[in-house]
Amino acid sequence: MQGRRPSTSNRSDIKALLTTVKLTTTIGTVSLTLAGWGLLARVDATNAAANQPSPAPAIGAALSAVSPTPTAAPPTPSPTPSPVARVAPRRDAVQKPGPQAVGGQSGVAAPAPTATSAPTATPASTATPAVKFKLDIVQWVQTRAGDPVAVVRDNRGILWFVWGSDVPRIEQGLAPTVQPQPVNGFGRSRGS
Amino acid sequence: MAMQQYERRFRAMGTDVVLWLWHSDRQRAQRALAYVQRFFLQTEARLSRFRPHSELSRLNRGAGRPFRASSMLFTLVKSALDWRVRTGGIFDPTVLHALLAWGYDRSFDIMQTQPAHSEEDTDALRRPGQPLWAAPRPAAATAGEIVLGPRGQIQLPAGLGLDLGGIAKGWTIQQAARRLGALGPALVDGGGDIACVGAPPDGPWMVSVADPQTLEQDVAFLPLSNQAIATSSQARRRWLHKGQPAHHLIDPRTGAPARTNILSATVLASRLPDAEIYAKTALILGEEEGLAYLRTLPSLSWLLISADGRQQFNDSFEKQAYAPASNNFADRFQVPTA
Repeated sequence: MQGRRPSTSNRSDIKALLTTVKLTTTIGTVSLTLAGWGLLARVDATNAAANQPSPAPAIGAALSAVSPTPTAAPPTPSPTPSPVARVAPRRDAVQKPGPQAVGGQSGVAAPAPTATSAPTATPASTATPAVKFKLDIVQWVQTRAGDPVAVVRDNRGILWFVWGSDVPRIEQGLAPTVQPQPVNGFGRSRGS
Repeated sequence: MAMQQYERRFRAMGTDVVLWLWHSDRQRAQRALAYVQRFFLQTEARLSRFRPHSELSRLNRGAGRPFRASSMLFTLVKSALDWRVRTGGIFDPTVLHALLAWGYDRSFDIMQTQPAHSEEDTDALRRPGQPLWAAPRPAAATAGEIVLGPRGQIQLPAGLGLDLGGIAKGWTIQQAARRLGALGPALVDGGGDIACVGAPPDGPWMVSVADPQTLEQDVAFLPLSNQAIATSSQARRRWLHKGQPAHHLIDPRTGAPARTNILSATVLASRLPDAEIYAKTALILGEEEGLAYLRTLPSLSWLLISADGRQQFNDSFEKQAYAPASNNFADRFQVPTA
């Protein structure tokens, strides 16, 4: 039995199909290679950050990379304070803040309540008590979730992340609802 | 060339260790960090009671006979025995057999991943007829019975064993900080026991104290420079032993885990082993006696957290710390206006 030869139109269809497959394969290969390079670079960067005793970025470097000049702070931070830079704080405490009570007498303090949900970016009270002092805000930054956080220099020259909505509270002499975190935090004593 | 911050993390002595060093020369900094890491591992190999071939294990196995110790082991044993006297026996390195009887016979890493040993094993460790809470304690052992002779000779009484856990770790961390500190500002954190030398160029080392109730929050932040901080806590290294909760802080007066109303004790001192021992002693003593004890030590800063969450601290701690539960926390942010 003699086999049928494909017709001319069929041959051109097959040719076109092969060309398409070739093209797709080439594009796919190039994309995968590029993606692989990207992944490798990311893995390398992660490993370098995690394992190598390489210089860790100091907050000074991080801040200057974000904004070269200290910015004036908005008096009451809104959900989109301006200017705002995206900085990932070194500790995730700012991203997952845990409010602590402030109060009690010197020497014997009341137990701190457990963490509650993150505060909103609006001030806690609609009535506006008098501002007692102004915080020395070096810069406004944002958490990854987009919440505004002030970088505040205290009276000993130490930099702190202060939750945005706590800025007016502290300036009114009230306790912060979210525990400020030192920008340059190192160890944590926790019992061993 | 400007100084930069270098960091190294590794696991040693059953805990996470972090080394920080500021230095202008990357290669020298890395060499120093690697050297200190080796120092940790070598010291652990020598002083761990969980390693059968360590020098400490050989000393313990050789109880009743003279043992020629290295200068490191001899120094630490001598120091631990001195502290035993200074704390009226509350800090006691001879509680090894009580720890074993309460099931702390493997490193805590292994205890967490492997089930407890059999009842028979536990029973074999205690004296017949004694309730478990009165687990075998080398009652006859006193500091006077441990002989420290010339040329590093140590003789333990038969049946006595030493656990140098806390003091050895504190000593190692302090030594590591001192060695790194010879090159530049350095901080060594061994599972929350911290010693630092100098301060980074942009301000002091900021260290926090974890809330022992949540372990997530911090109860205080402390700017440190040339200081050490240690926290002794019931909240960590806990396990169930025959249905009873146990922890690693043995009260030598009972031979059992300390029944104390202090959840954690934090002490700042110029040297880490001192801070470690003061904190441990205050915790074992309990709130009333612990407070009275700490008040006799005016050079220290301290914070006690009771089981019901109350925080008590001295003036020195309050002055140094940013304690959110104190009324001075927000005041720290008041800066003079121009």
